Amino acid sequence: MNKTILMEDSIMQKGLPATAGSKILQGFRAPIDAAVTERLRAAGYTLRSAPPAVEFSCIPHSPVPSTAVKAVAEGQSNAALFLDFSGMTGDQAALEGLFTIRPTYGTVSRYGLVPSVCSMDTVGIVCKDLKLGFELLAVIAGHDSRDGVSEPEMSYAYAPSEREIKGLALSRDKLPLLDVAGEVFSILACAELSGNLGRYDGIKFGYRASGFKGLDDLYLKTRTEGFSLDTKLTLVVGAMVLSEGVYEKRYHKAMQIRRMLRDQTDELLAEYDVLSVPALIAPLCGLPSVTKPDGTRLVAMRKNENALFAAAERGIAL
Amino acid sequence: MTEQECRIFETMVKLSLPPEERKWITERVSSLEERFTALDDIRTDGVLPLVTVSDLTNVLREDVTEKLLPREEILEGAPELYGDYFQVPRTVE
Repeated sequence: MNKTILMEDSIMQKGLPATAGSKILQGFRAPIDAAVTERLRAAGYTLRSAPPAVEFSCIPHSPVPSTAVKAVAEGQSNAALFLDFSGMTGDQAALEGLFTIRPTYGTVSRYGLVPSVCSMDTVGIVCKDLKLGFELLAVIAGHDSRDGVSEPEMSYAYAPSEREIKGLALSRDKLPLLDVAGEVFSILACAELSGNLGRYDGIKFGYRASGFKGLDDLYLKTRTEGFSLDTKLTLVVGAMVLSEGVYEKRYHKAMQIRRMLRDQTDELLAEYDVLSVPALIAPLCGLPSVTKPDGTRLVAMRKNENALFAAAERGIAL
Repeated sequence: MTEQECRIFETMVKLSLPPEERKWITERVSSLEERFTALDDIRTDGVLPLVTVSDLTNVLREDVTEKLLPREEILEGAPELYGDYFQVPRTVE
């Protein structure tokens, strides 16, 4: 079996460019291997790297073909790994007849990822073959003390569950909060991204503008020239929702609704093994998901990837 | 959002937008602000905010010194160096 895997460069490979698709990380080379990189190399995989098509894996205002999806669709790689915080790469992958797998939050170490949205970041897998995708997931999943949210299990083995799988196509009447999932996601993602991107200042690494007059001007010019328009929009929205007078009614409220969404989804997952859902439910609730080539996106309870495996493999009707 | 308000938030995130970008962003933020009002009608009395979906708490490590990266490797990516230091513009007159 060809054991060459492409990884978007938000997943660090020591010595190689780690740009996260951004000019602001121009010239930056990864000083470390990500935990995912270490595990894949130890398992005998050969790794290639390419920048993500969209800066910091944000959602662009007009669609851009994902690097990971393109690599697998064009046969450059049997599978590809990418930083996934939105779960939306699955839609592009489905158009190319591919699967995507998003693991339970905390089961794949974030050590060595260029961070985007810390409470949603994980490593996603695009693959032609679902079994191969889960084999890869078994390699990269496992406890890592260098990631503070890493679940304690040292290793995972995935196999499609053999028992009957009960599924539900989720609709608004079962989960009314679906109506605001997009808004909650936008508020939280923009807030966290604007915090994470504060580190890019042109001082210690990456792009530094020229022609500045003083330190503040260095920051302003570097960040204005270094970030894309979509990222700048994210930064402004993030600042807005975290600002005095807005924080309570937007960011704090979004976090409250996130808890309600998670709790209500968990109640449904106590009754059903898998749910068919919109993209944003998995990252908001920390759930594992599989997107199938027909565009159906399934989630299961945390650490119940085997139910997803079975449902996707058997083509469970919902 | 007005363009004046956009300037305030730009300052917070250390941006200085060209006028056409400010206009584009202001329009989009205004549209998002409309969408965000959907949260206003949702009752969240007594609901604790969910900061992380992880159930782990108080994840600690042993209080031991670790050597992480050699100084030379950290300095390798620097835009500008002065010996073993990051060169920055004057901060004190």
